[in-house]
Amino acid sequence: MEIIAKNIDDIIILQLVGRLESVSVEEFNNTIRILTEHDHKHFVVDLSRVEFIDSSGLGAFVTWKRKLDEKNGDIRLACLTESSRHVIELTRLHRLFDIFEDSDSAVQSFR
Amino acid sequence: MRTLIIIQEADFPWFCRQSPGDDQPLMTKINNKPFLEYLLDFAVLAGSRAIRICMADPDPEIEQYFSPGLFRGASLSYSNIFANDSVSQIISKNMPFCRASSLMLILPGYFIHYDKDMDFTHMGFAEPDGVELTCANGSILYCPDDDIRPMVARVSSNFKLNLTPISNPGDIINLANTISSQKQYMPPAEIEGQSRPMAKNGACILTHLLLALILILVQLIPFIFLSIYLTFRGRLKFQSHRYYIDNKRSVVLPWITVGTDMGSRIYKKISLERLPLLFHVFTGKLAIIGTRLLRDNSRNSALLRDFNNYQPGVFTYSEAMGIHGPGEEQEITDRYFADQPCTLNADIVKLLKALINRLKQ
Repeated sequence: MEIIAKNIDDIIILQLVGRLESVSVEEFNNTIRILTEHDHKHFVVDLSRVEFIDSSGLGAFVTWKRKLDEKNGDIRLACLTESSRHVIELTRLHRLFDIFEDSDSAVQSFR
Repeated sequence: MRTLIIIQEADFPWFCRQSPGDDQPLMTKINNKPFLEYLLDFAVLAGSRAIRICMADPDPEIEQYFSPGLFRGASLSYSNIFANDSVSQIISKNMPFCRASSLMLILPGYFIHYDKDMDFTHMGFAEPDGVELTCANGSILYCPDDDIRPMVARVSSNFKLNLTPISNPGDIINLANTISSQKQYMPPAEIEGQSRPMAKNGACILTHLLLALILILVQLIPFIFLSIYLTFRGRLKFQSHRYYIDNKRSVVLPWITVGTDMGSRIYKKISLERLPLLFHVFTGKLAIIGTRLLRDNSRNSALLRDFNNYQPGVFTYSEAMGIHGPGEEQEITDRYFADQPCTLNADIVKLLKALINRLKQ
């Protein structure tokens, strides 16, 4: 999995490319861990190029949401594909995450 | 023009109460047509080329009946919102959709009377741009320009259109000259070509039975000896509780509680406390690997209302993934795997993983 990170006024957009599953989730965790160590706490995860998410990927979103909540930060989801929306609804994560049609609106929502 | 239909159940509590159980209130049939279809019809009649349904509580019944794609020539899509999102928050979450052209918002909880022979396509332009108009019930908002400036349009009687707030059981909905359903409404499971996708096939059931039999044979002797030993030491309790075996039915199943001493830990590590449950794989009440067994109580009853393909197992998907103890991650994992197709290899691998993870615990 490839992760493209973009910083817009201290709001980090993470575009995930490929499959977010048990073998690649550590890469995602490490990226956020490094960024949070550098005091970043607002994240937008762009899922437009994600081909597949499994339960460990979803679990990672929840874990980071919880950790960032403690620091008054947040992780928001954007650009869901039909399949990722299906998985997120199935696991009821739409009740936990703010979901935006595009990453620009998600960035705006932090301001 | 584009239309956002915003579904937040707090907007129509009475309607929800009239539709108890699993039935989605917006799929309540009126004249053999789901209530939601009237709203979609009206959006099309008003000239919408794209309709988006924003749901705080997505319901597969709605998405199966009105699949994303085309609805009477308009493109239909879905998005997720929170139950307490304001209209402006919902617009911001759907900004590219809302910006593309003028926008009409429809909040359900009102029945829209309309004459199907009238032209509603210019409804929004009947008043000058930028003038904020009033509508007693506020059901239809019309944003005539790209700035998403909400303008509440009074739905003029000239358009033979009015709103009936659905707020109490005495309300009568007049259907004169509205469009009746062209298709027979059926619950989603009965719609042609749509069956429960995850129903276990014969080979899968047979594999589960075989795996249960192997485990029983392997565990039986250690179970007998260790159970006797731990019972005499007062470390073992045989109990029974009522558990859900599907989304509606619950039955009494055995449950063994063990202590925390070394013997009890070994007993648990080699999963001997699950042996009495294995026999229920043969009765079809449990799968060998499935979702977590949920006790029969009001909290779980509410949880099961929207739990697709809940099928409890002697061992759980979350155990297979190394997640122990109840929590969000366990629920995510269970819901996720419950919706995956049943394949022989996957179930065998998951069972082995669950057994190994319990051993490591």
